[in-house]
Amino acid sequence: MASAQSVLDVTDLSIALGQDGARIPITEDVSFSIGRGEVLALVGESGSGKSITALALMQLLSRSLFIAKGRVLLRAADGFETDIAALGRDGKAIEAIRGARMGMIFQEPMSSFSPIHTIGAQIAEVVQIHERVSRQVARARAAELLAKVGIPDPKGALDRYPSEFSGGMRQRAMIARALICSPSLLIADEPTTALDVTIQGQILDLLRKLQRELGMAILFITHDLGIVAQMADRVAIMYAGRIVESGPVGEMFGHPAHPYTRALLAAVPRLGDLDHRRKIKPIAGSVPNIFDAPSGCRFHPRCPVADPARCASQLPPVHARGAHAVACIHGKTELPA
Amino acid sequence: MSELLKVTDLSVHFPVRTRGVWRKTVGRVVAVDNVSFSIARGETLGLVGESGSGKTTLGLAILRGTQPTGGRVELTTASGTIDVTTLDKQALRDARRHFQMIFQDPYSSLNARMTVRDIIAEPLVARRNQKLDRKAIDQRVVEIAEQCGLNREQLRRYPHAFSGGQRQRIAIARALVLHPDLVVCDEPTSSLDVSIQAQILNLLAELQERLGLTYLFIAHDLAAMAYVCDRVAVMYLGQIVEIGATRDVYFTPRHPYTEALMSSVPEPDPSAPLQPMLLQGERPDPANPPSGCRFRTRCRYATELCATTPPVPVEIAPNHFAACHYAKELSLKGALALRNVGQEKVAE
Repeated sequence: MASAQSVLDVTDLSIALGQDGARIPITEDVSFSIGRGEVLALVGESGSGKSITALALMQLLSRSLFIAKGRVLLRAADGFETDIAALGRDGKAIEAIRGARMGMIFQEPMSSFSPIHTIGAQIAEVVQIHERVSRQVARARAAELLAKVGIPDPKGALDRYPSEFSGGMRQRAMIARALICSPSLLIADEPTTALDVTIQGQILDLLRKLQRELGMAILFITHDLGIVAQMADRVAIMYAGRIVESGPVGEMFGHPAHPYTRALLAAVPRLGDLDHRRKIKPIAGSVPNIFDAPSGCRFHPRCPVADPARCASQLPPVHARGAHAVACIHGKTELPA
Repeated sequence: MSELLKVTDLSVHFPVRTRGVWRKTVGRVVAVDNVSFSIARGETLGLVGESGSGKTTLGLAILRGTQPTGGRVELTTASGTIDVTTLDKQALRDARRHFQMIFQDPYSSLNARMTVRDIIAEPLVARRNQKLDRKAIDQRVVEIAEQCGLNREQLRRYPHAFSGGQRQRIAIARALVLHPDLVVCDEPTSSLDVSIQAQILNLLAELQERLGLTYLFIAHDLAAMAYVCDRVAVMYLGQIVEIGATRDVYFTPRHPYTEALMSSVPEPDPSAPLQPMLLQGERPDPANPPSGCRFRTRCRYATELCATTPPVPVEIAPNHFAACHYAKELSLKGALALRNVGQEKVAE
């Protein structure tokens, strides 16, 4: 699916744990691309490998994990092109990308800020690292961004500490810090999971507004299908380290093709259920342990339509129609025409 | 339906103390403020509210997990009516078999050094006035474990061998082993994956039907709540601002806070776009709540009256109460009604 229009092309990305001798695969052959100004949601349950994938895109994997295979091609708006998978974890090359061409926001805003430096210093620092500007200019830019993300009295906020901010305000400050160098791609890893629902509404609204205004692409990592439906243009579903299905958001919710996607949608309670009296259907069993992942199709032990002869022994073939792709032996017949 | 639990003017205050040796009390946080409601036998009442609204404290106060500052909690069981707030230590210990709790995090609520069998048997062993022999205990443990979807084999193992969903089943079995009348479920599915959440929600519903349980279901996930609750109470800064049948509260809310809450729920349907009715500002400090109506600082409909006079709950429709001066006049929008497509769907 690589095209000149995409900001990021991830091809066959595999992440493994441990040394080369005894490596344990965590994710395998993950491929996706994100177009300019597009929002891609990477969806999965805990242990599916979605957050690890996001960290790998920024070379932020912990020391015990490494990229075993694959390419992560970034095409920034300024014409800059590089394969991030080939860069080291440290050094000038990756530092020119992190925080400048790619920004990242995390789930827990309290632990993403230093408690002993002011909000202003921590945001201005990003500008000073990437651009040759004076402290005054950097602070002015920081205040500008704080205003843009809806923080009242942005000039005063520069001199305050993270502990003086509420959860929602800290998350806004983190968004400001991630966006201050106008990145081509923002990676948002469960940015609203720790927030209350009304504050979550505010943050989602803000992200959508900024995304349109700045024309940036967002990789949105989440497990919440409600947020996916509201935020994403395209969706990729991960299960036990592999992408099982991807496609435009309307198709994924309207005509899900993979048994896991369908089971997931059937398991979520909806407000509309109050009228329809729909019963939610749980998925049998539990999410597999990465150290003991099933052979063949990773979902086959929980799959209601698995063919034991084929699904346990071979990787499911990928079927695609247009932008909608599914990795399942039944895929071809399930894809909508 | 007979009333199982009746809560009247329940309050819980926490002192705010200075640091240092003397720890002088300089103020108080009113975590739960004059809350009254009742739950019928076999019913599920949902308690919804954002962090800091006092919903967990209220749940704990009903079980005397924390000491209430004022008010009454009356529980009517087959053996008569008791006021939980006035029981002495021994009487409370005996009464606890009538009410049990399921906690949010099954990783911290189970003792890692005990086998599953011992965890589930613990409430039976702890009952001093009704000693059971080992055989009777084993029999009861196996029975309740099987009802919760655990098998005999698993009882010999330790919690670490289980996934989150299975651990929650163990916690449920432990809560139900004494045949309680009331179970307080504090965010029982919040730490679980989507596919497992559905298993636990369905299990709780199934057990309720089979064992005639009554639930107080505390949660912040409004969709999960709609799925299991007959009635819902909405809390804001220690007070119940609205209470009524789930359908009424969700689709025809009468309190502006409920409207804002309902509009913020992202529905898993791309054709029902989210139009959150954004609340202004942030939740005020519970130690220093606004005068009059506590919600007025974030309310789009607030007037001068709201700043001076605290609203009292009024019955707007049968069994549907809201504490808002304008509850009768405002025409508020419910869940899905704000979304064009969603509206058609509801009308279908």
